Amino acid sequence: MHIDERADEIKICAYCPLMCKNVDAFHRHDGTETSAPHIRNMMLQKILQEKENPKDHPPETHLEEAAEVLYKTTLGGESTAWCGESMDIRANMIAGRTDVVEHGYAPPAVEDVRHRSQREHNAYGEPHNQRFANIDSTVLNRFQDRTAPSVGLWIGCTTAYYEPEIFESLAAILDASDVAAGIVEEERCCGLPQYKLGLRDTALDLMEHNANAINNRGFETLVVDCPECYRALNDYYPHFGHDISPEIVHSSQFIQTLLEEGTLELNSTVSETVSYHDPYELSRHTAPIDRNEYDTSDIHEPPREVLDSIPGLHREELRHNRNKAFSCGGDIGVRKMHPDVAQKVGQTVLDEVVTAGADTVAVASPECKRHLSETITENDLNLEVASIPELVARTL
Amino acid sequence: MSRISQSLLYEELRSIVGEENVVESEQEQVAHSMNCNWYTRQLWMDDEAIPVPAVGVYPHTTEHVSQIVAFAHREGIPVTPFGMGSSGMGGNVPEYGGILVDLKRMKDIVDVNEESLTATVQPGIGNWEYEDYLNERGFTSGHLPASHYSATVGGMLALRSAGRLSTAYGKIEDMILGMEVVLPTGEVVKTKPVPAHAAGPDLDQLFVGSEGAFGIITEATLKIHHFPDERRFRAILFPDFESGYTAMRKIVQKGLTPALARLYNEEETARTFKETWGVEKEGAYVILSWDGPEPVVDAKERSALEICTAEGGEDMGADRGREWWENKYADYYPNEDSVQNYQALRGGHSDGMAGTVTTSVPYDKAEEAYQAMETAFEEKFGDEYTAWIHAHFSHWYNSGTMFYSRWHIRDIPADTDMLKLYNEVWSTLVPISLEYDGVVDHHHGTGRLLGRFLRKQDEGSHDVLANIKESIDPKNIMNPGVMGLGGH
Ligand SMILES: Cc1cc2nc3c(=O)[nH]c(=O)nc-3n(C[C@H](O)[C@H](O)[C@H](O)COP(=O)(O)OP(=O)(O)OC[C@H]3O[C@@H](n4cnc5c(N)ncnc54)[C@H](O)[C@@H]3O)c2cc1C
Ligand code: SF4
Repeated sequence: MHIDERADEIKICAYCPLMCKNVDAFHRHDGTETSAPHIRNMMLQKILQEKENPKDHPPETHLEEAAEVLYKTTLGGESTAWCGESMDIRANMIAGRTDVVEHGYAPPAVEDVRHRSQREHNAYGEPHNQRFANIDSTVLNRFQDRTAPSVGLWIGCTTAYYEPEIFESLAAILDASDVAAGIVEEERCCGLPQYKLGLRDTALDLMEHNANAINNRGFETLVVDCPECYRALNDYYPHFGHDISPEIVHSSQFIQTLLEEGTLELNSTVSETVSYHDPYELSRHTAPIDRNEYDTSDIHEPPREVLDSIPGLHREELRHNRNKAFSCGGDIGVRKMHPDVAQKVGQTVLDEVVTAGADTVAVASPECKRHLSETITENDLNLEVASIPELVARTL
Repeated sequence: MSRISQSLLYEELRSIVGEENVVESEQEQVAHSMNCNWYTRQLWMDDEAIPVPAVGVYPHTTEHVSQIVAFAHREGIPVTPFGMGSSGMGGNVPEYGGILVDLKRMKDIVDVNEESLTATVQPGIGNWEYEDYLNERGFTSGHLPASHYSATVGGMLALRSAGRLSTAYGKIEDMILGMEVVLPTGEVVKTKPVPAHAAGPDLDQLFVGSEGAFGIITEATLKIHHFPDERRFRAILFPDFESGYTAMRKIVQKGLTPALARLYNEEETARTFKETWGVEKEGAYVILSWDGPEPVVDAKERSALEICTAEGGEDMGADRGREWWENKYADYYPNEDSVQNYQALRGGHSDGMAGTVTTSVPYDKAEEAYQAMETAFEEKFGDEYTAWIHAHFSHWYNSGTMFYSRWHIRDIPADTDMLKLYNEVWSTLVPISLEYDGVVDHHHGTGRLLGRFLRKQDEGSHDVLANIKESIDPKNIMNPGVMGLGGH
């Protein structure tokens, strides 16, 4: 998407009387004026206006000025959730970033992601040929050996490289439920991190590759734990002409079904007070990408219902939850370009966890797990972060 | 004015607040001038020069602010305090360059005293964050302006802001108990947060509403309240504006203190009913609410409804009132129509503009004052342009009321001098308010836009303000130009 396609929406945000300024997660913690939502849009509005009324310089020269500014947001969607017009300001930012990149003004950190993604097929630049190296090989081998399973497990980059226990826990849950699942061995990054940074071409290459790889496997259901991958496969792939044949199901939905069907039984007890942190890609973004309305089909309840069925687990809701949840700052762009702000954003979520009286943050996203764990370590807090599959696997 | 070099300026400020809290980028300085200011936004869009600060600085502590201001005083550098930039009156625009002190990184909630019901905060906390924090603990500030998501506590204090529930909870100047202020020379004054005193004049009231001209507010202790057990709404439709106005006056003067109290004129009423509920209705529409223990709310509501019925009011039920409350910010989100004031920019030209006059007037003059404004506006601008004005009365006192007149002008020819036209509107409307014993403004402040009218508001008071300014800010560095003081 390019800014011309978002002209009406950009104009509205550009002239907004600052109605989401205090709720924007990045701006609230950073305070710089260029991170304010209306300013980011005004920079784009100026370009659009000059396209209509040409000046003595090409309008795109302003993209250079806009370049840094457009990356000063988590894309977490707080603005949209609070906005009385439900404006999809995130789509405005992605459009602006895409134009920035295509005109050669990508900030160095974004260029770096492009190179890493092209070289190693993941935004982190971890070696592709080591993608599954951190996962317990006995578990992995079982998945690799299966012929024509109907269920597939999508691993995702963050889990593969940094949080392998999430995959191992999911595998244990599937084993306990007698579900014989396979994986997509040719799996690469889903492309959404690149798309969100404006690296459209890189993202589209990854999407095309993955779509073919998935469709060749012949799964009926593909279980996806990473919310970013979930959203990419569900919304972005079809949008870019890559229909995915298996049904895409979030891991929490899949576990919920196993529990409801009685295929999965949770035997032992955990004694933890847990707060669930809604990742923004599940809680307010599982909508088709080219629409403005706020979506109501987001995944709010399955993670909660799974947690509530864990024997002994006590759950306390965070003050800001579901579509009004605070984002945690784990987004790759902010982590790379503004690590200090990313930490402060994460700290807000952890403050809410402490206020709620929980000792564990349950997450439905490997990126949230990684980021919040690091924030806890950095700030020397006495909290644990655990993914939902891990918490469930503890009871098997 | 200072002759200090840019690099020395940066160096000095970095040594006070640290490198990460000094922003040097040109973009950042430009962004600081483009908040709710219609005119600077227009100029920037057209690549015209706009006033920008030489440097933006983000203090974290009172000590930082004190050192920055002391340095500015020594060097004679202008200082503009900045909250969230939601004021459209221009007081947040650094007209004379210099140092812009952005207070948004001073945003701690220092203390909440649950027994004395007070909260002490740093000035840069956003009102939404502040209220959210209190609500989570069972309290409320009672201050909910339409800029809930875009104003800081410091900025609201600096402009004597009013929230939607002001008829019961008061304006922000009624909520302040004690303050810490860095004076234009860098010294710090701190007043005790006591409920009342007779130990000389109330210094807090000198700084509240001083628009950054008398110093920078660095901490404030405010009243807070238990979140009400009961919050009840009621909507009433009166046959005409006069009957609604009389009922509202009587309700307030009888001590039935509604929290929310809004009366719309006939045009606004017709529009609201049609657009919101799809019903054609004539008359004047009122929304009321009460906060408090249930029996108290019951009693107040019952007595108020009796007054409304006696004045011919038709009870429209609780739901319409509640619905308004639940969508209380809805009118402020931009849409296709409202961006009309900016969107048709052609060579720097917008074909629309809009603004709001807020004033408070004694009861015996308010209706007349409003009618006079409406007539003058339509006569002056109605022939040449598409122009309309509408109003609601939404903050009520024992002796008078406040009205909020929103004016719009559209279809402005491309060769029009926009700034001249804009100023002409204010020059038409504000003197009418003064003529009917009203004020220059009720809750937006005067800034650079309306400061010029302040001298005409009260007899002799502007000279007193000017003398105070001169004595506490001998080098005229603190936000020169606001309130008609110290501009060049
Ligand atoms: C959509 C919208 C709705 C609004 N609704 C209301 C409403 O219902 N009620 C209402 O009262 N106002 C309303 N306003 C106006 C505005 O929000 C207020 O004037 C508010 O008080 C400004 O706060 P700020 O933090 O944005 O201050 P800024 O705009 O940044 O600054 C305003 C003035 O205060 C000075 N200042 C800021 N911080 C300090 C400080 N710490 N010490 C000293 N001086 C300081 C600045 O120099 C400037 O002169 C509305 C504005 C908008 C855009
Ligand atoms: S998302 Fe909504 S509130 Fe935020 S800038 Fe856009 S229109 Fe305004």
